[in-house]
Amino acid sequence: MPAHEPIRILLVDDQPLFRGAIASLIDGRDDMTVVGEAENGLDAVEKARLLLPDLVVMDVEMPVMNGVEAVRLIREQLSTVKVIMLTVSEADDHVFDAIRFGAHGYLLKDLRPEQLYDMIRSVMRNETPLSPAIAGRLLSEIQNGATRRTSSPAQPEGPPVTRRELEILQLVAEGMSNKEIGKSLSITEGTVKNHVHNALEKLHMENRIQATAYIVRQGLGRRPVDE
Amino acid sequence: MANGTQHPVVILYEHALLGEGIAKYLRAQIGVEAMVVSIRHPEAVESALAVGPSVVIFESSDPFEQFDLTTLAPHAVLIDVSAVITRGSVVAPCAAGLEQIVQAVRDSSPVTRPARARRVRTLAAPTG
Repeated sequence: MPAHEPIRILLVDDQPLFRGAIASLIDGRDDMTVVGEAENGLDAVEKARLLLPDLVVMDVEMPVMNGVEAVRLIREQLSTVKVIMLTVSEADDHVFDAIRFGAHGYLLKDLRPEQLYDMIRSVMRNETPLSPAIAGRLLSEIQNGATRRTSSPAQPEGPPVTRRELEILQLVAEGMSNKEIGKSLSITEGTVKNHVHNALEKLHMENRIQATAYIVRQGLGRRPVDE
Repeated sequence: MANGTQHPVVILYEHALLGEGIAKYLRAQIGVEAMVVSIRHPEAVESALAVGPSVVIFESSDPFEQFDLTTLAPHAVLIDVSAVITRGSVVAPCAAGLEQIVQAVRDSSPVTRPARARRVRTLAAPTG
């Protein structure tokens, strides 16, 4: 992204040393810059309103207001601002709430700096980065959800999407790209893209990561092949 | 600080974002030579400490970490930043940031005398 304006980033973490370390890494890069820092969720909401960053890198556990509540408020009030959650553990119970509230990525703090830069760039390309451990947990939840669903005698009311759209969302939730889904279903990548777009619209969602959380929460994942 | 007599700073990290970020700041602000090593690689840690750093900044979530820094870096000032990245949120606000690290490094004089490890400073409160 060097030909464009640098990505304007707001850093949110209650530890000034960690904020400073991240700011130090980002500053000096030609495609991204830190425009502000906040020490808790409330501070983040206020600074996001003031600074209108392109992206917020948000800690989860913070005093005064946690990162999940902050992402909800920021996404409600500033729909163009993207948010990446940066947390300590994949066992974090807030993963699904943050995604539901509109977080664009969920990363662990054990990233290498280069990985963080890549994840930031990918969010700005409208992708949805997940740390491998987080993705693994999502997949596990999907598989468990599928098992629960198939063992349940009563099925809840179906989702407001077509069978084909649901099939594609299930593959999205398994981490497949549009290209991979197209190949798997013998349809074009463009057709997959249209189905995903339509499904997200019907579900009032903005991105694939929210769709993944929806599939997990509703227990709509595909049954594991070996069952 | 970058006068050729200053022994390097060694940064032992568990989270690369923290270790590399501190190192980059120290290099930029005071031109200090900072060696950054994952604390999960014992051989690399021992090699880094063998150069005789004047300051060791370390981060480890394991209270029973096998490294005895007071033996491996007997003359260094030890700065513990382990509490910067843990689960949970801050109980008591902590103002420690990069400037405090810089100050601690500035305060450490080049090692010329055979003293034991001098002190351990903890620069952050528990948080998440």
